[in-house]
This record gives sequence, C-alpha cells and structure tokens, in this order.
Amino acid sequence: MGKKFKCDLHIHTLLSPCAEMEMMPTAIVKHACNAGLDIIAITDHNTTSNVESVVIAGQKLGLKVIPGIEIQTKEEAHIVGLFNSVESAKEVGDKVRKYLPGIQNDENYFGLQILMDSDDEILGQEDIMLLNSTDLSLEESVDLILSFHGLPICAHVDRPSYSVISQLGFIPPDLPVKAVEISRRSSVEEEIKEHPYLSNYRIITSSDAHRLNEIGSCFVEINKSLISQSIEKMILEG
Amino acid sequence: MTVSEAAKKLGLDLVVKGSSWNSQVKGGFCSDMLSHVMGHCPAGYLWVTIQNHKNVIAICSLLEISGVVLAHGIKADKDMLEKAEDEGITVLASGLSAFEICGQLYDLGITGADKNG
Repeated sequence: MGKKFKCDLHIHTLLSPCAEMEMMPTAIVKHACNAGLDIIAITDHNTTSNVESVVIAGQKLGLKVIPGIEIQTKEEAHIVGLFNSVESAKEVGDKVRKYLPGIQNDENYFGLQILMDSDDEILGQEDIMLLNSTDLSLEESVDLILSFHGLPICAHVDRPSYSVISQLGFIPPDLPVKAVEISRRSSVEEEIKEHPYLSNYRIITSSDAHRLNEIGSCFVEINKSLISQSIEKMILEG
Repeated sequence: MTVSEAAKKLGLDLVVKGSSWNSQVKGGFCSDMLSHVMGHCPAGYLWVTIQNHKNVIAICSLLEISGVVLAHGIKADKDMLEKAEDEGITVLASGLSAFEICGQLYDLGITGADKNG
C-alpha cells in the first residue's frame, strides 16, 4: 500500500567539470520535476559545494533534494555518499577536499568547475581539479560516509572504468556497503547474471546525469511511507 | 626514434595519427591509473595502457604525452577516438600484452624515468 516515489539518486551539477554548463540548480530541479521525479540526489565529484543551492531550488518547487557526493577513491573507484543533512554533506565535502592532490584545474582540458547559488548566480570557480583520485582508499571513503550517518553506494558497478568492480574485479565482501548502483548502460538482470553476488545488495539504478536530458533516464522507486526515515532506511528498505 | 618509427618496428596498429607522429619518443610509461599517470608521466613519453576512454586523451593533451598505445587488443571507445582526432593525439594499438609492448619498446632503447626523478 502507498504510493512509490520516483528517485534519481545520482546527478551532477556544473561544478563537476565533466558536466555540461546547463546543469544549473534551477534547471536541474525543473527538469527533474518535468521527468516526474519526486526525489533527486546531487552527487558532484569530490565536492558538495553546490549541494545546498540545489536543495534550496528544490524547496521552491516541492522537489526533495538529497545532499550527496561522488568520491573517487585512490583505486579510481567511485563511491556515492548520500546524507541526511546539508551540514553533514558539507562536512564530508570539506574533509574529502583535503585528500585531493592540489593540482589546479585546467578548464581547457577538463572543463569548468562553477560554484552557483540557488538562483543560478555564479559564485566563483573551484580551483582544485575535482576529477582526480583522492588519497582515500575504498574502505576509508566508505567509513567517512558512514561516520556522518550517510549511505555509501558503489556507483555504476556495471561501468568498465571508475567502478569498484572494474577497479578491483569484485566488491570486497567485508566492505561495509549495502547498496550498489547500476547505470543506464546496463540492466539489473544482466549484471546479476554476470555477478550473481550482487543480489545480496540493495540494487538501485540512477542516471549519473551530466546533462539535463539524462535526468530521470534511470530511477529507483521508494515507498512513500519511508520518506521521513533516515537516508539509509529509506533507500535500503525502499 | 620517432613515434612512427617505434610504431613500425613494433607492428602497432595506427588508430589516430596525431601531431607527435614524427616527433622523438623520449621514453615509455605504463599505468592504468589515470591519477598515477597525471602525477608521474613525463612529456614526450609513449603511454601504454588498457584505459580506453576520453579522459586518457585529456591527460595526454595536458601532459604533452607523445601518444597512447592500447594493449591487449583493447579498442578505443567512440569518445576517445573523437577526442584524439580533435586534439591531435596519436593512438596506437596492439594485441600484445602491456608487458610485451613495454619489453619491446625497452629493447628498442626506449626507457622510462618518472618525471619526479
């Protein structure tokens, strides 16, 4: 009983250098609403600096926005972290920043990294290159997310690069992660066929949107009754 | 030895002929971790890897790497090819393993030193 909420839990803003410049807070929120999404998560590479802007933009249109991050571990695997509050997301973002090599971004090669407010006004640029591995191992990244009561998710495990499976060949059984994400490039059925142990995890599908028309291209449904629960309960018990 | 000469001697397939084709190869580098390449690969080197996405080309441009050699029969994906054409980065390929390719490059006198010494 109860309506299901349609959720896209992996979306980038224009702060991620690989995302298109159109990925501005109000545009993301409008597109999400038009795609029939009830909940989205903002997960920029190694930063949470644009998260609050999208949360506020979402509030204006009645769209719930979960603050998140996509950490690139030292093994070059991506771990998404979703948090219960903007504050905890910001604290994690600040900590992750310290683990990035201080290489300056070169927009000619990697793209712009724009900080923006909820009215799409430019606040500045992020100088440090975000599209790099942190010095955090897979375990350390997961522990960091958990220490702030967030939910760690092995991102796009079907991808041939930047996924835990592409980088390690498998998901370490003792890694304290309970959820994995499959991208729009594959399907749950295909992935379980190839890696049967994935059925031991909560599997979600998300768009990993880097442009507006990708928002909602993949989504996961969550029971409405869980909406006021913690992020962990909401998604794991979905 | 130029990139074209090394490619010919090793029998490498030419995937994209970039601006380095007639340039001297200064050394060889082998890694599949892009962050590692960014921190350690000197300019003018040939990079042997199985990574086949467009970020490989971005790093080649940024670091002025001579070219990419895709090992183990790995094929460049569409975005990587397009970016290599746009940026003029040489992409070569071989069915040999990365180890074999590196061995053969070494036999040609192409050695490798970390840019950090």
